Amino acid sequence: MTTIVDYLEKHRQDFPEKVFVQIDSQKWTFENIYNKVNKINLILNQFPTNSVISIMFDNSIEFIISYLGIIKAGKIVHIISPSISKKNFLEQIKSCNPKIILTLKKFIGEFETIQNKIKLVDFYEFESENISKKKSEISDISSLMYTSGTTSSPKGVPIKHENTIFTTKNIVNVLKYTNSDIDVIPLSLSHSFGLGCLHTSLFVGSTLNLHKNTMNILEILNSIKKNNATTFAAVPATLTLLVNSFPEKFVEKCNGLRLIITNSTKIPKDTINKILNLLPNTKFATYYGLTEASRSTFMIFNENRKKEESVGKHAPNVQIKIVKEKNQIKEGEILVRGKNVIDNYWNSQFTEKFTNNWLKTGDLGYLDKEGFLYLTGRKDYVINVGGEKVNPEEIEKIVKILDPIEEAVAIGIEHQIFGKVIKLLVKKYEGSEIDISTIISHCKQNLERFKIPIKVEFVSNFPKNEHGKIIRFILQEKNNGNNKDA
Amino acid sequence: MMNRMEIENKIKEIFFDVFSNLNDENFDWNAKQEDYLNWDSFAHLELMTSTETKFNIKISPEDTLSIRTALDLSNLVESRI
Repeated sequence: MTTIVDYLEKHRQDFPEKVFVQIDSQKWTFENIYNKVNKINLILNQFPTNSVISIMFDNSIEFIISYLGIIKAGKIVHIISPSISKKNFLEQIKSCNPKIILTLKKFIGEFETIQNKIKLVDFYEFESENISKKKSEISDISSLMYTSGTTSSPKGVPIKHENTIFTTKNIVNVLKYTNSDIDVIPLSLSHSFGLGCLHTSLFVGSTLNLHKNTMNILEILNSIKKNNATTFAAVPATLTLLVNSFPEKFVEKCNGLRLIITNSTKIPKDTINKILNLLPNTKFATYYGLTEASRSTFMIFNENRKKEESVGKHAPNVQIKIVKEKNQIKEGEILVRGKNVIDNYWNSQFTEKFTNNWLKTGDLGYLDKEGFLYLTGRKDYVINVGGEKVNPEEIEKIVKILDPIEEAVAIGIEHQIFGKVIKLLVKKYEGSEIDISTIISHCKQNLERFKIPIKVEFVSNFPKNEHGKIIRFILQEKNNGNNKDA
Repeated sequence: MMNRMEIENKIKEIFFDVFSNLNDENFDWNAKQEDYLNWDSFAHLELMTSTETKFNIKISPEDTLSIRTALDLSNLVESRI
């Protein structure tokens, strides 16, 4: 079985002294990283096949070494973002039962106090443990990430080695990555977009210039120029800000790029056209995918100037179909099939999401005559906040714990940087009192940052259907009509 | 009108609220985003939203991007009120 780490071994043999990862001014060669990865692999031999090892790091060399070390050892690497809420942390740990959680001292304190079953181990302490010669079989599954479910509990997405290799080959072939690329990545490695970029650099043997913080946009631009980068991966919000706020700097720093790649969070048509006009020699591309069906389509905007609102055509050897319900004329639910799609969710949950290997994405869209896919919305009410999927029911459930609250509805309102942010509508019980800051503090204690409402409004009633169910789309339409947030 | 000290106190409150590990002893006006444990884009959003609410001002995306330290935020607020 081929794993992504096999490519690390290959490049280490072919060009050991070549820089694989650069973070700020620190550089690590393929040889450096291979040796560190191998050490983690040998220590992990103490655990049996199919053991889950969790990692919790920000963008750092420790993330990369641990991630690849666990894969090399044939174990399943469970990726936890350090910004996870305590509630989700406990749910994920309970669901996947890892042997240990590899992390850094700075993150241990916060999570150690809420559970004592699974040990949080500092990366550098772990690195000094004894190696084990006992070699185990390689698990079919390489990694496990949790994504927001259509129910309020998170779904575990087990990704197999063959999914990763298939998807990475597609990225490399469609976007023409080579080992002479220098890739600037200001994306979290704890997410599918960032992790896919790591796989791509590793697959071809390019140099990965990793940034810790997406907010330092000007530093990222400087890094692109200073390091003679050839590719740049960024979320639509970052690109929109760049072309609107710093168009001259954008051209000055990015004119050497051969490729800018973004993901399928809605990108304004205006941003696409500005990028194409400002950098006519740079390929600008996007893709559509889910963690469970990574890179299902690709779109190169330069080659399809009149289809800016599409996310492109299906990736090689990936099938896309639209399943319409009776009342739907044009759009329907997007289904995906191919080796980029997972076989099932963790612990075989949510089996209803699959039929004959087709994954029901929950996204709505349509295909035009030439096979270009257009996204039109969601079948459920999942809200995309800066690329993070948020299930409104999770927020509502947390808010309704507060005694004075009778009903609560979370909706997405437009935001210039994040695309959507959360607004909470709340109905209090008659005669009860609660203020906005109490609600927000309660959310902060129980939810990840991106799920915290930035606006709270008290309402006297919610629109309901004849069965007494709140009609969300009315609230959504009403609030997006007159309540945009910049 | 608020004086500098009042602005700084409110900014500090916002930072303590967003970053629960901060207190008077470890708070540094010049500490940059990368020096913080968890100053990611969502924490940044929270900082900006709280500042807008507390001082009743609007922060543009350009200004949002220029904020790297608590001192930057304090200076921005002072120039606006």
